[in-house]
Amino acid sequence: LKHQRDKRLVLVGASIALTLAASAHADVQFNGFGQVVVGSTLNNNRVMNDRTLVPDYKGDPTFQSESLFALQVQAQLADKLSATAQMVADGAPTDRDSSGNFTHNDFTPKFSWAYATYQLTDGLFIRGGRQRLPLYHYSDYLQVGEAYPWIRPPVSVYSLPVSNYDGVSLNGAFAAGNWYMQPQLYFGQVQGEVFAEGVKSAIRLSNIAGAVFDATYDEWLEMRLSYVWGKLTSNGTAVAQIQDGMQQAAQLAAVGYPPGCVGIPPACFPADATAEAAYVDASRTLDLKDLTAQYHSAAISINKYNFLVDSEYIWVRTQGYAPREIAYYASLGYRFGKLTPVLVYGHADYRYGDTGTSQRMITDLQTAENTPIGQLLNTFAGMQGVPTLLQGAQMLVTGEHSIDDYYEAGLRYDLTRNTALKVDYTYYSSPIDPATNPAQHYQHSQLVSAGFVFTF
Amino acid sequence: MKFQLGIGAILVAASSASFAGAVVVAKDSPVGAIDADQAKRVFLGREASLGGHTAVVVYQKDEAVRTDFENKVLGKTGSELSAYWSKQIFTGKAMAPEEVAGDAQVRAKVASTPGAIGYVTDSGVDSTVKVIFKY
Repeated sequence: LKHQRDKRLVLVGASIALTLAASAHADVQFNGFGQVVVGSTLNNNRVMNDRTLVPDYKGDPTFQSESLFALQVQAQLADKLSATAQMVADGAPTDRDSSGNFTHNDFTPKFSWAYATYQLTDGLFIRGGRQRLPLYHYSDYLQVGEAYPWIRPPVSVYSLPVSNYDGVSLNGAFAAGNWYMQPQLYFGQVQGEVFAEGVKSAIRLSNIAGAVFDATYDEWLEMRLSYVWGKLTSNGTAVAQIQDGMQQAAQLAAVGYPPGCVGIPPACFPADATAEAAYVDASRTLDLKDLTAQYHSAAISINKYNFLVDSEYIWVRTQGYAPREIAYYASLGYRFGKLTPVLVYGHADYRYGDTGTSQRMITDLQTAENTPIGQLLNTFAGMQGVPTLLQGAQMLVTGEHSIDDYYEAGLRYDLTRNTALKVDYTYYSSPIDPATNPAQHYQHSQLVSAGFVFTF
Repeated sequence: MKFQLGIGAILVAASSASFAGAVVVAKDSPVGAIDADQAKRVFLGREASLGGHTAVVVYQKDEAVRTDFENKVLGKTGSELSAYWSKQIFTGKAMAPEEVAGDAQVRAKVASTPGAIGYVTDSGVDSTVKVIFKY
């Protein structure tokens, strides 16, 4: 499937190239950006509890995680029509093997964008194709290190597993006095992969409808609001494994053991409608199919008198057992000529499911365990040395909550107009004790990283 | 040799304060005089069109000339300006500005390209271009 998708993108790229070749008067621009970043944690702990893939530094220094090289081609095909494609080669982590080591992209270039833009009027354009998903303030240029002072946008907010959507956007861009407004509406769908508790799973956000309003005052004050609505579906998570167990239990409860038997234990564990209904209901609480998800962001940036102030607050609301989140960061920098020191505080509060849903699942499983067939299932689990469904669900509920704090100090040194060196120290901590929460692997960590960024 | 180049750079830098320049368009362009805010907007790629054509912004490569222009008109220069343009270009919001070597190349580009706008030093103004803003 992945190959088919890549192939399709290559075709898009090829068709753009052909169109270019056919259009002798096309004004074509090539631009690029890249960075070489090396990082390492000071102990053997990761900075972020396996919830996300980047940055996946642990122990030994590595260049692979965040180094990248990107090339963009923009072609003015006609007076009002242009095409843009961006290829990125990176070594970002993609998966984790059974022994817990990450595997990475091997710097093979891939199309991350390919879209066409049509200028409807001076202040309005429409764009279709694969585009960056503008969920948050820096989402649009997350990888363009040259465009921001930090070594990476604050990870409390920028740890998203998806970055592109396929669809259409309607974009405004106009001046009103000293204000410059950039409203945007977009529709489409997102496909990606998430990583939770070492299990990779595919996610889809379909029927998305998003709106962004960005206002800049006199080029020094920028305010941005964003809202996206979509239907979230996810397969293959750790949650799905427990759900699978519940569904199998429901099937067994429907027929009894041995199937169709009449009698009493231990000769027969008869079919039990109460247990069946309870298992079915418990499994429904974990459904990750077409759940409404809403992403909100409010951001402000100030760039005045050499001060750089940046802050963003995001909140994600979902139904059922889908992940929800509140996160923010505040950043303060000062430009001393070529040198820009910057301090950042970031916070993320992330959880799966609401308390009502969790409670319903636990109550259902307790009900089921009080039946003979439920007790038989627990015995089986005990014999095989695996947790019972109730134990598994309780672990899920305990592990569903994570709180992350990030304290960061960075320095950017401008070498030339379009190259810079950056260093960063990030201290990570969480108030959640790993002893009480199986999903909390590390309570503290320190990450140092250094990088060289460029554009051309 | 290196030392002499260093002195040269200092002299150029010192003399840059006394530069004065002009924003120019083609002689026959319908675009009239603009003010400081408009000049800033156009050169930051905030205007899609100019005189009925897609706006083509022309910068100069000469470090002293461009730094003077950027400080006086754009209010940002060096890597701050480069960061600004990176954001515009790599989000597909604007095409990168053209960069040419000097006053003569700006005049040639502006005179031959509908919608083009550039800046030249005062001594670089001649009859092939129209001055619409002075800085």
